[in-house]
Amino acid sequence: MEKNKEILQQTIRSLPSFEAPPQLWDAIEQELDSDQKLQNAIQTLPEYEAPTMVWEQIKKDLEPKIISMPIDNGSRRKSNYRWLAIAASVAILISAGVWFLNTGDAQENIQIVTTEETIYEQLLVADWEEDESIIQEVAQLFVQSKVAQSSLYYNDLLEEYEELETAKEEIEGMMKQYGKATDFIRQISEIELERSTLVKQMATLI
Amino acid sequence: MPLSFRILTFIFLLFPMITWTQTTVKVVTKKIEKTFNYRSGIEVNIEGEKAEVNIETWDKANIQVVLEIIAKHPEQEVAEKDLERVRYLADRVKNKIYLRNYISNEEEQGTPESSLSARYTITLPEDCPVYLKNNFGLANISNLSNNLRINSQFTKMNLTNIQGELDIRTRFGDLIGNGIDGNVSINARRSNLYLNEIKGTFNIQAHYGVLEIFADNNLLDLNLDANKSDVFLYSPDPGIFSYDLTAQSSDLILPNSLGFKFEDNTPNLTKANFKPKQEVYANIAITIQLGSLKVEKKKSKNF
Repeated sequence: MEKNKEILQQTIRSLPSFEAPPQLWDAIEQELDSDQKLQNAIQTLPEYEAPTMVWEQIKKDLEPKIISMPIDNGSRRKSNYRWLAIAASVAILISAGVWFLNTGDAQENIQIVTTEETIYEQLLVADWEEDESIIQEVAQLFVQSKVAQSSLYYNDLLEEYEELETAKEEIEGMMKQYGKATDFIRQISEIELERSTLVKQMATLI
Repeated sequence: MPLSFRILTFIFLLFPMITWTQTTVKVVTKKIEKTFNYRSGIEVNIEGEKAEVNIETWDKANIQVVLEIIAKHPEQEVAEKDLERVRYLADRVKNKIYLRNYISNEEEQGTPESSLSARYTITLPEDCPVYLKNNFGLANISNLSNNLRINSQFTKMNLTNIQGELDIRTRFGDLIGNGIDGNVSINARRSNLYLNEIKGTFNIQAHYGVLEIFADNNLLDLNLDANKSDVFLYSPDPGIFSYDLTAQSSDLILPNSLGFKFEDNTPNLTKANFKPKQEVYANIAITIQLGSLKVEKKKSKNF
Protein backbone atom coordinates (compact mmCIF):
# COMPACT_ATOMS: atom_id res chain seq x y z
CA MET A 1 0.00 0.00 0.00
CA GLU A 2 1.20 3.50 -0.79
CA LYS A 3 1.80 5.37 2.44
CA ASN A 4 1.15 8.86 1.02
CA LYS A 5 -1.64 7.87 -1.38
CA GLU A 6 -3.90 10.77 -0.41
CA ILE A 7 -1.09 13.34 -0.86
CA LEU A 8 -0.10 11.83 -4.19
CA GLN A 9 -3.66 11.89 -5.56
CA GLN A 10 -4.07 15.50 -4.39
CA THR A 11 -0.84 16.49 -6.12
CA ILE A 12 -1.95 14.79 -9.35
CA ARG A 13 -5.28 16.61 -9.22
CA SER A 14 -3.51 19.92 -8.74
CA LEU A 15 -1.25 19.43 -11.76
CA PRO A 16 -1.97 21.93 -14.58
CA SER A 17 -3.71 20.52 -17.68
CA PHE A 18 -2.84 21.53 -21.22
CA GLU A 19 -4.81 21.30 -24.42
CA ALA A 20 -2.94 20.15 -27.50
CA PRO A 21 -2.54 22.98 -30.07
CA PRO A 22 -4.62 22.45 -33.27
CA GLN A 23 -1.49 22.22 -35.48
CA LEU A 24 -0.48 19.09 -33.55
CA TRP A 25 -3.54 17.30 -34.95
CA ASP A 26 -2.51 18.43 -38.46
CA ALA A 27 0.93 16.97 -37.87
CA ILE A 28 -0.60 13.68 -36.72
CA GLU A 29 -2.87 13.65 -39.77
CA GLN A 30 0.15 14.20 -42.02
CA GLU A 31 1.92 11.33 -40.30
CA LEU A 32 -1.11 9.14 -40.96
CA ASP A 33 -0.94 10.16 -44.63
CA SER A 34 2.67 9.05 -44.82
CA ASP A 35 1.58 5.86 -46.60
CA GLN A 36 0.81 8.00 -49.63
CA LYS A 37 4.21 9.68 -49.29
CA LEU A 38 5.82 6.26 -49.12
CA GLN A 39 3.93 5.14 -52.24
CA ASN A 40 5.06 8.30 -54.06
CA ALA A 41 8.65 7.73 -52.96
CA ILE A 42 8.46 4.11 -54.15
CA GLN A 43 7.42 5.33 -57.60
CA THR A 44 10.61 7.39 -57.87
CA LEU A 45 12.96 4.61 -56.76
CA PRO A 46 15.35 3.35 -59.42
CA GLU A 47 14.78 -0.15 -60.79
CA TYR A 48 17.55 -2.70 -60.91
CA GLU A 49 17.65 -5.81 -62.98
CA ALA A 50 18.05 -9.02 -61.02
CA PRO A 51 21.00 -11.13 -62.21
CA THR A 52 20.14 -14.25 -64.22
CA MET A 53 21.23 -16.55 -61.38
CA VAL A 54 18.49 -15.10 -59.14
CA TRP A 55 15.76 -16.16 -61.59
CA GLU A 56 17.37 -19.56 -62.01
CA GLN A 57 17.35 -20.02 -58.24
CA ILE A 58 13.68 -18.94 -58.02
CA LYS A 59 12.82 -21.40 -60.77
CA LYS A 60 14.71 -24.18 -59.00
CA ASP A 61 12.88 -23.39 -55.76
CA LEU A 62 9.53 -23.47 -57.53
CA GLU A 63 10.19 -26.80 -59.22
CA PRO A 64 8.95 -29.86 -57.34
CA LYS A 65 11.79 -31.56 -55.51
CA ILE A 66 12.40 -35.25 -56.19
CA ILE A 67 13.78 -37.08 -53.18
CA SER A 68 15.64 -40.29 -54.00
CA MET A 69 15.43 -43.11 -51.49
CA PRO A 70 17.81 -46.08 -51.09
CA ILE A 71 16.53 -49.49 -52.25
CA ASP A 72 16.51 -52.21 -49.59
CA ASN A 73 15.21 -55.77 -49.86
CA GLY A 74 14.43 -56.23 -46.14
CA SER A 75 10.77 -57.07 -45.51
CA ARG A 76 10.49 -54.73 -42.50
CA ARG A 77 11.85 -51.83 -44.53
CA LYS A 78 9.53 -52.81 -47.39
CA SER A 79 6.61 -52.47 -45.03
CA ASN A 80 7.90 -49.11 -43.77
CA TYR A 81 8.30 -47.89 -47.32
CA ARG A 82 4.77 -49.02 -48.15
CA TRP A 83 3.39 -46.87 -45.34
CA LEU A 84 5.73 -44.09 -46.33
CA ALA A 85 4.55 -44.33 -49.92
CA ILE A 86 0.89 -44.24 -48.86
CA ALA A 87 1.54 -41.29 -46.54
CA ALA A 88 3.49 -39.49 -49.28
CA SER A 89 0.71 -40.12 -51.81
CA VAL A 90 -1.91 -38.75 -49.41
CA ALA A 91 0.31 -35.74 -48.67
CA ILE A 92 0.84 -35.08 -52.40
CA LEU A 93 -2.90 -35.36 -53.07
CA ILE A 94 -3.73 -32.98 -50.21
CA SER A 95 -0.99 -30.53 -51.27
CA ALA A 96 -2.12 -30.65 -54.90
CA GLY A 97 -5.74 -30.11 -53.81
CA VAL A 98 -4.83 -27.16 -51.57
CA TRP A 99 -2.59 -25.70 -54.28
CA PHE A 100 -5.33 -26.09 -56.90
CA LEU A 101 -7.96 -24.53 -54.65
CA ASN A 102 -5.63 -21.64 -53.80
CA THR A 103 -4.51 -20.62 -57.28
CA GLY A 104 -6.65 -22.60 -59.71
CA ASP A 105 -3.75 -22.22 -62.15
CA ALA A 106 -3.48 -24.88 -64.80
CA GLN A 107 -0.36 -26.94 -65.36
CA GLU A 108 2.11 -26.04 -68.10
CA ASN A 109 1.59 -27.63 -71.46
CA ILE A 110 4.78 -27.94 -73.50
CA GLN A 111 5.07 -28.86 -77.18
CA ILE A 112 8.03 -28.83 -79.56
CA VAL A 113 7.42 -28.36 -83.28
CA THR A 114 9.76 -28.00 -86.25
CA THR A 115 9.05 -26.03 -89.41
CA GLU A 116 11.14 -24.59 -92.25
CA GLU A 117 11.92 -21.04 -93.30
CA THR A 118 14.00 -19.37 -96.00
CA ILE A 119 16.61 -16.78 -95.06
CA TYR A 120 18.97 -14.59 -97.11
CA GLU A 121 22.53 -15.01 -95.91
CA GLN A 122 23.65 -11.68 -97.38
CA LEU A 123 21.52 -9.89 -94.82
CA LEU A 124 23.50 -11.43 -91.98
CA VAL A 125 26.95 -10.22 -93.05
CA ALA A 126 28.66 -8.32 -90.24
CA ASP A 127 30.63 -5.76 -92.25
CA TRP A 128 30.44 -2.76 -89.94
CA GLU A 129 33.88 -3.36 -88.44
CA GLU A 130 35.57 -2.51 -91.78
CA ASP A 131 35.59 1.22 -91.01
CA GLU A 132 36.04 0.93 -87.25
CA SER A 133 39.75 1.83 -87.23
CA ILE A 134 39.22 5.16 -89.06
CA ILE A 135 36.26 6.02 -86.80
CA GLN A 136 38.37 5.33 -83.71
CA GLU A 137 41.20 7.40 -85.15
CA VAL A 138 38.95 10.43 -85.74
CA ALA A 139 37.48 10.12 -82.25
CA GLN A 140 40.98 9.95 -80.76
CA LEU A 141 42.10 13.05 -82.69
CA PHE A 142 38.92 14.87 -81.61
CA VAL A 143 39.58 14.09 -77.92
CA GLN A 144 43.17 15.37 -78.15
CA SER A 145 42.51 18.40 -80.38
CA LYS A 146 42.85 21.76 -78.60
CA VAL A 147 40.60 23.33 -81.25
CA ALA A 148 37.90 20.75 -80.64
CA GLN A 149 38.22 21.14 -76.87
CA SER A 150 37.50 24.86 -77.19
CA SER A 151 34.30 24.17 -79.13
CA LEU A 152 30.92 24.66 -77.45
CA TYR A 153 29.84 21.28 -78.78
CA TYR A 154 32.89 19.32 -77.55
CA ASN A 155 31.24 17.71 -74.49
CA ASP A 156 27.93 17.07 -76.25
CA LEU A 157 29.58 15.36 -79.21
CA LEU A 158 31.81 13.29 -76.97
CA GLU A 159 28.87 12.24 -74.82
CA GLU A 160 26.87 11.31 -77.91
CA TYR A 161 29.80 9.31 -79.32
CA GLU A 162 30.15 7.36 -76.08
CA GLU A 163 26.39 6.72 -75.92
CA LEU A 164 26.42 5.29 -79.44
CA GLU A 165 29.51 3.20 -78.66
CA THR A 166 27.77 1.76 -75.60
CA ALA A 167 24.59 1.04 -77.60
CA LYS A 168 26.62 -0.75 -80.27
CA GLU A 169 28.40 -2.84 -77.64
CA GLU A 170 25.04 -3.74 -76.08
CA ILE A 171 23.69 -4.97 -79.41
CA GLU A 172 26.87 -6.94 -80.12
CA GLY A 173 26.69 -8.45 -76.62
CA MET A 174 23.10 -9.50 -77.21
CA MET A 175 24.03 -10.98 -80.59
CA LYS A 176 26.66 -13.13 -78.84
CA GLN A 177 23.92 -14.53 -76.60
CA TYR A 178 21.05 -14.92 -79.08
CA GLY A 179 22.96 -15.45 -82.36
CA LYS A 180 22.91 -13.46 -85.58
CA ALA A 181 19.57 -12.04 -86.66
CA THR A 182 18.47 -9.37 -89.12
CA ASP A 183 16.92 -7.37 -86.23
CA PHE A 184 20.34 -6.95 -84.64
CA ILE A 185 22.00 -6.09 -87.97
CA ARG A 186 19.34 -3.44 -88.66
CA GLN A 187 19.80 -1.92 -85.19
CA ILE A 188 23.57 -1.80 -85.65
CA SER A 189 23.05 -0.20 -89.09
CA GLU A 190 20.98 2.58 -87.49
CA ILE A 191 23.66 3.17 -84.85
CA GLU A 192 26.38 3.17 -87.52
CA LEU A 193 24.39 5.70 -89.54
CA GLU A 194 24.25 8.03 -86.54
CA ARG A 195 27.92 7.40 -85.75
CA SER A 196 28.89 8.30 -89.32
CA THR A 197 27.11 11.66 -89.09
CA LEU A 198 28.67 12.27 -85.69
CA VAL A 199 32.22 11.37 -86.76
CA LYS A 200 31.90 13.74 -89.74
CA GLN A 201 30.90 16.51 -87.32
CA MET A 202 33.85 15.66 -85.06
CA ALA A 203 36.24 15.70 -88.02
CA THR A 204 35.25 19.27 -88.93
CA LEU A 205 36.18 20.45 -85.44
CA ILE A 206 39.64 18.83 -85.21
CA MET B 1 23.47 -7.55 -133.30
CA PRO B 2 19.64 -7.69 -132.94
CA LEU B 3 18.13 -5.64 -130.11
CA SER B 4 16.44 -8.64 -128.48
CA PHE B 5 19.77 -10.49 -128.35
CA ARG B 6 21.44 -7.48 -126.71
CA ILE B 7 18.67 -7.26 -124.10
CA LEU B 8 18.99 -10.96 -123.34
CA THR B 9 22.78 -10.64 -123.02
CA PHE B 10 22.32 -7.68 -120.64
CA ILE B 11 19.86 -9.63 -118.46
CA PHE B 12 22.17 -12.64 -118.50
CA LEU B 13 25.10 -10.48 -117.32
CA LEU B 14 22.98 -8.76 -114.65
CA PHE B 15 21.51 -11.98 -113.29
CA PRO B 16 24.47 -13.05 -111.08
CA MET B 17 24.51 -9.57 -109.50
CA ILE B 18 20.91 -9.74 -108.34
CA THR B 19 20.88 -13.37 -107.23
CA TRP B 20 20.59 -13.72 -103.45
CA THR B 21 21.73 -16.82 -101.69
CA GLN B 22 18.74 -18.45 -100.05
CA THR B 23 19.15 -20.91 -97.25
CA THR B 24 16.45 -23.08 -95.78
CA VAL B 25 16.60 -23.23 -92.01
CA LYS B 26 14.86 -25.48 -89.53
CA VAL B 27 12.73 -23.53 -87.09
CA VAL B 28 12.46 -25.43 -83.82
CA THR B 29 9.83 -23.97 -81.51
CA LYS B 30 9.20 -24.91 -77.90
CA LYS B 31 5.65 -23.82 -77.12
CA ILE B 32 4.71 -23.41 -73.47
CA GLU B 33 1.06 -22.80 -72.61
CA LYS B 34 -0.17 -21.92 -69.17
CA THR B 35 -3.38 -20.39 -67.81
CA PHE B 36 -3.58 -18.50 -64.54
CA ASN B 37 -6.71 -17.59 -62.60
CA TYR B 38 -7.23 -13.84 -62.39
CA ARG B 39 -8.60 -11.79 -59.54
CA SER B 40 -8.33 -8.08 -58.79
CA GLY B 41 -4.87 -7.11 -57.49
CA ILE B 42 -2.90 -9.50 -59.66
CA GLU B 43 -0.23 -7.98 -61.91
CA VAL B 44 1.45 -9.55 -64.89
CA ASN B 45 5.17 -8.86 -64.85
CA ILE B 46 7.03 -9.66 -68.06
CA GLU B 47 10.76 -9.46 -68.71
CA GLY B 48 11.53 -10.35 -72.27
CA GLU B 49 14.83 -10.51 -74.10
CA LYS B 50 14.88 -10.66 -77.89
CA ALA B 51 11.16 -11.20 -77.52
CA GLU B 52 8.02 -10.30 -79.40
CA VAL B 53 5.38 -9.59 -76.78
CA ASN B 54 1.72 -9.54 -77.82
CA ILE B 55 -0.84 -8.56 -75.21
CA GLU B 56 -4.56 -8.75 -75.93
CA THR B 57 -7.65 -8.70 -73.74
CA TRP B 58 -10.75 -10.84 -73.31
CA ASP B 59 -13.82 -11.10 -71.03
CA LYS B 60 -12.69 -14.22 -69.15
CA ALA B 61 -11.26 -14.08 -65.61
CA ASN B 62 -8.14 -15.91 -66.79
CA ILE B 63 -4.68 -14.98 -67.93
CA GLN B 64 -3.55 -17.18 -70.76
CA VAL B 65 0.13 -17.25 -71.60
CA VAL B 66 1.63 -18.82 -74.70
CA LEU B 67 5.40 -18.55 -74.73
CA GLU B 68 7.26 -19.74 -77.81
CA ILE B 69 11.02 -20.12 -77.68
CA ILE B 70 12.45 -20.31 -81.17
CA ALA B 71 15.78 -21.51 -82.59
CA LYS B 72 16.65 -21.28 -86.30
CA HIS B 73 19.52 -23.14 -87.94
CA PRO B 74 20.03 -25.12 -91.16
CA GLU B 75 20.62 -28.26 -89.07
CA GLN B 76 17.77 -29.37 -86.82
CA GLU B 77 20.08 -30.95 -84.21
CA VAL B 78 22.00 -27.69 -83.76
CA ALA B 79 18.76 -25.72 -83.44
CA GLU B 80 17.42 -28.20 -80.85
CA LYS B 81 20.66 -28.01 -78.83
CA ASP B 82 20.78 -24.19 -78.91
CA LEU B 83 17.11 -23.99 -77.93
CA GLU B 84 18.05 -25.34 -74.50
CA ARG B 85 20.16 -22.23 -73.83
CA VAL B 86 17.01 -20.14 -73.50
CA ARG B 87 15.52 -20.52 -70.05
CA TYR B 88 12.07 -19.36 -69.08
CA LEU B 89 9.91 -18.70 -66.08
CA ALA B 90 6.11 -18.64 -66.06
CA ASP B 91 4.98 -18.70 -62.45
CA ARG B 92 2.83 -16.96 -59.91
CA VAL B 93 4.49 -15.58 -56.80
CA LYS B 94 1.88 -14.10 -54.47
CA ASN B 95 -0.01 -11.47 -56.49
CA LYS B 96 2.39 -11.35 -59.40
CA ILE B 97 2.63 -13.55 -62.42
CA TYR B 98 6.23 -13.54 -63.55
CA LEU B 99 7.05 -14.30 -67.15
CA ARG B 100 10.70 -14.34 -68.15
CA ASN B 101 13.01 -15.57 -70.86
CA TYR B 102 16.75 -15.33 -70.58
CA ILE B 103 19.98 -17.02 -71.56
CA SER B 104 21.48 -19.11 -68.81
CA ASN B 105 25.01 -18.12 -67.92
CA GLU B 106 25.63 -21.07 -65.62
CA GLU B 107 28.62 -21.98 -67.71
CA GLU B 108 30.46 -20.23 -70.52
CA GLN B 109 28.55 -21.36 -73.56
CA GLY B 110 30.01 -19.17 -76.28
CA THR B 111 27.94 -17.74 -79.13
CA PRO B 112 25.09 -19.97 -80.32
CA GLU B 113 25.13 -21.12 -83.93
CA SER B 114 21.38 -20.68 -84.19
CA SER B 115 19.34 -17.51 -84.14
CA LEU B 116 17.34 -17.52 -80.90
CA SER B 117 14.24 -15.56 -79.96
CA ALA B 118 11.03 -15.69 -77.94
CA ARG B 119 7.40 -14.82 -78.57
CA TYR B 120 4.79 -14.18 -75.89
CA THR B 121 1.07 -14.13 -76.61
CA ILE B 122 -0.74 -13.07 -73.46
CA THR B 123 -4.51 -12.76 -73.21
CA LEU B 124 -5.87 -11.19 -70.03
CA PRO B 125 -8.76 -9.15 -68.58
CA GLU B 126 -8.57 -5.49 -69.60
CA ASP B 127 -8.23 -4.24 -66.00
CA CYS B 128 -5.20 -6.42 -65.25
CA PRO B 129 -2.14 -4.23 -64.52
CA VAL B 130 0.88 -5.01 -66.68
CA TYR B 131 4.57 -4.32 -66.25
CA LEU B 132 6.68 -5.01 -69.31
CA LYS B 133 10.42 -4.86 -69.54
CA ASN B 134 11.65 -5.77 -72.98
CA ASN B 135 15.08 -5.53 -74.52
CA PHE B 136 15.73 -6.01 -78.23
CA GLY B 137 12.24 -6.95 -79.26
CA LEU B 138 8.77 -5.89 -80.25
CA ALA B 139 5.63 -5.20 -78.22
CA ASN B 140 2.05 -5.08 -79.47
CA ILE B 141 -0.39 -4.13 -76.73
CA SER B 142 -4.07 -3.34 -77.09
CA ASN B 143 -7.25 -2.58 -75.11
CA LEU B 144 -5.83 -2.35 -71.58
CA SER B 145 -7.75 -0.05 -69.24
CA ASN B 146 -5.98 0.11 -65.89
CA ASN B 147 -2.24 0.39 -65.43
CA LEU B 148 0.57 -0.22 -67.88
CA ARG B 149 4.25 0.31 -67.19
CA ILE B 150 6.85 -0.27 -69.86
CA ASN B 151 10.61 -0.12 -69.64
CA SER B 152 12.13 -0.98 -72.98
CA GLN B 153 15.35 -0.75 -74.89
CA PHE B 154 15.86 -1.35 -78.60
CA THR B 155 12.20 -2.27 -78.85
CA LYS B 156 9.43 -1.10 -81.16
CA MET B 157 6.10 -0.68 -79.38
CA ASN B 158 2.61 -0.55 -80.84
CA LEU B 159 -0.01 0.55 -78.33
CA THR B 160 -3.66 0.64 -79.39
CA ASN B 161 -6.67 1.79 -77.38
CA ILE B 162 -4.96 1.99 -73.99
CA GLN B 163 -6.57 3.77 -71.02
CA GLY B 164 -5.61 4.49 -67.42
CA GLU B 165 -2.20 5.07 -65.88
CA LEU B 166 0.68 4.71 -68.33
CA ASP B 167 4.36 5.02 -67.56
CA ILE B 168 6.62 4.37 -70.51
CA ARG B 169 10.40 4.54 -70.64
CA THR B 170 12.06 3.82 -73.93
CA ARG B 171 15.65 3.95 -75.11
CA PHE B 172 16.61 3.32 -78.73
CA GLY B 173 13.07 2.25 -79.62
CA ASP B 174 10.00 3.59 -81.35
CA LEU B 175 6.58 4.06 -79.85
CA ILE B 176 3.47 4.06 -82.02
CA GLY B 177 0.30 4.85 -80.09
CA ASN B 178 -3.24 5.00 -81.40
CA GLY B 179 -6.07 6.07 -79.08
CA ILE B 180 -4.14 6.47 -75.82
CA ASP B 181 -6.29 8.04 -73.12
CA GLY B 182 -5.28 8.53 -69.52
CA ASN B 183 -2.63 9.85 -67.22
CA VAL B 184 0.43 9.25 -69.35
CA SER B 185 4.10 9.70 -68.63
CA ILE B 186 6.66 9.03 -71.35
CA ASN B 187 10.41 9.27 -71.08
CA ALA B 188 12.02 8.66 -74.46
CA ARG B 189 15.70 8.71 -75.33
CA ARG B 190 16.81 8.22 -78.92
CA SER B 191 13.30 7.01 -79.67
CA ASN B 192 10.69 8.27 -82.10
CA LEU B 193 7.13 8.77 -80.91
CA TYR B 194 4.08 8.65 -83.16
CA LEU B 195 0.97 9.35 -81.10
CA ASN B 196 -2.45 9.54 -82.69
CA GLU B 197 -5.65 10.85 -81.06
CA ILE B 198 -4.19 11.41 -77.63
CA LYS B 199 -6.66 12.16 -74.82
CA GLY B 200 -6.14 12.82 -71.13
CA THR B 201 -2.98 14.17 -69.51
CA PHE B 202 0.42 13.68 -71.08
CA ASN B 203 3.86 14.38 -69.65
CA ILE B 204 6.57 13.67 -72.18
CA GLN B 205 10.32 14.00 -71.97
CA ALA B 206 12.19 13.31 -75.17
CA HIS B 207 15.85 13.37 -76.07
CA TYR B 208 17.08 12.83 -79.63
CA GLY B 209 13.90 11.82 -81.40
CA VAL B 210 11.19 12.69 -83.87
CA LEU B 211 7.78 13.23 -82.27
CA GLU B 212 4.57 13.32 -84.28
CA ILE B 213 1.59 14.00 -82.07
CA PHE B 214 -2.04 14.25 -83.17
CA ALA B 215 -4.05 15.84 -80.35
CA ASP B 216 -7.68 14.86 -79.90
CA ASN B 217 -10.26 17.47 -78.83
CA ASN B 218 -10.50 15.59 -75.52
CA LEU B 219 -6.86 16.26 -74.63
CA LEU B 220 -6.67 17.67 -71.09
CA ASP B 221 -3.02 18.62 -70.73
CA LEU B 222 0.20 18.14 -72.63
CA ASN B 223 3.54 18.96 -71.07
CA LEU B 224 6.42 18.24 -73.39
CA ASP B 225 10.10 18.78 -72.76
CA ALA B 226 12.09 17.95 -75.88
CA ASN B 227 15.82 18.15 -76.33
CA LYS B 228 17.57 17.82 -79.69
CA SER B 229 14.30 16.60 -81.14
CA ASP B 230 11.91 17.50 -83.94
CA VAL B 231 8.33 17.89 -82.75
CA PHE B 232 5.23 18.01 -84.97
CA LEU B 233 1.99 18.79 -83.16
CA TYR B 234 -1.16 18.36 -85.20
CA SER B 235 -4.82 18.92 -84.42
CA PRO B 236 -7.97 19.24 -86.55
CA ASP B 237 -8.75 22.37 -84.53
CA PRO B 238 -5.56 23.88 -83.01
CA GLY B 239 -7.44 26.99 -81.83
CA ILE B 240 -9.21 25.16 -78.98
CA PHE B 241 -6.00 24.73 -76.92
CA SER B 242 -3.96 27.12 -74.84
CA TYR B 243 -0.26 27.16 -75.78
CA ASP B 244 2.80 28.06 -73.77
CA LEU B 245 5.81 27.47 -76.00
CA THR B 246 9.51 28.01 -75.33
CA ALA B 247 12.09 27.33 -77.99
CA GLN B 248 15.80 27.59 -77.27
CA SER B 249 18.07 27.58 -80.33
CA SER B 250 15.23 25.88 -82.16
CA ASP B 251 12.99 26.48 -85.16
CA LEU B 252 9.40 27.34 -84.36
CA ILE B 253 6.72 27.13 -87.04
CA LEU B 254 3.24 28.19 -85.88
CA PRO B 255 -0.08 28.68 -87.71
CA ASN B 256 -0.52 32.38 -88.56
CA SER B 257 -4.28 32.11 -88.14
CA LEU B 258 -4.04 31.74 -84.35
CA GLY B 259 -2.19 35.01 -83.72
CA PHE B 260 0.39 33.84 -81.18
CA LYS B 261 1.81 36.46 -78.82
CA PHE B 262 5.62 36.54 -78.62
CA GLU B 263 7.22 37.52 -75.32
CA ASP B 264 10.79 36.94 -76.46
CA ASN B 265 11.84 36.49 -80.02
CA THR B 266 15.61 36.30 -80.41
CA PRO B 267 17.65 33.77 -82.42
CA ASN B 268 18.43 31.84 -79.21
CA LEU B 269 15.13 32.13 -77.37
CA THR B 270 11.54 32.37 -78.53
CA LYS B 271 8.57 32.38 -76.19
CA ALA B 272 5.12 32.28 -77.70
CA ASN B 273 1.70 31.83 -76.18
CA PHE B 274 -1.93 31.69 -77.15
CA LYS B 275 -5.18 31.55 -75.20
CA PRO B 276 -8.44 30.45 -76.85
CA LYS B 277 -11.68 32.42 -76.50
CA GLN B 278 -13.66 29.72 -74.68
CA GLU B 279 -13.56 29.49 -70.87
CA VAL B 280 -12.47 25.88 -70.55
CA TYR B 281 -9.52 24.65 -72.54
CA ALA B 282 -6.63 22.23 -72.44
CA ASN B 283 -3.09 23.46 -71.81
CA ILE B 284 -0.21 22.61 -74.08
CA ALA B 285 3.19 23.53 -72.67
CA ILE B 286 6.20 22.72 -74.81
CA THR B 287 9.85 23.48 -74.19
CA ILE B 288 12.24 22.62 -76.95
CA GLN B 289 16.01 22.88 -77.05
CA LEU B 290 18.23 22.52 -80.11
CA GLY B 291 15.45 21.12 -82.25
CA SER B 292 12.30 22.21 -84.01
CA LEU B 293 8.59 22.55 -83.29
CA LYS B 294 5.81 22.79 -85.80
CA VAL B 295 2.16 23.30 -84.84
CA GLU B 296 -0.23 22.64 -87.70
CA LYS B 297 -3.91 22.09 -88.43
CA LYS B 298 -4.22 18.54 -89.67
CA LYS B 299 -6.59 15.62 -89.37
CA SER B 300 -5.48 12.58 -87.45
CA LYS B 301 -4.15 9.51 -89.12
CA ASN B 302 -3.51 5.99 -88.00
CA PHE B 303 0.16 5.08 -87.86
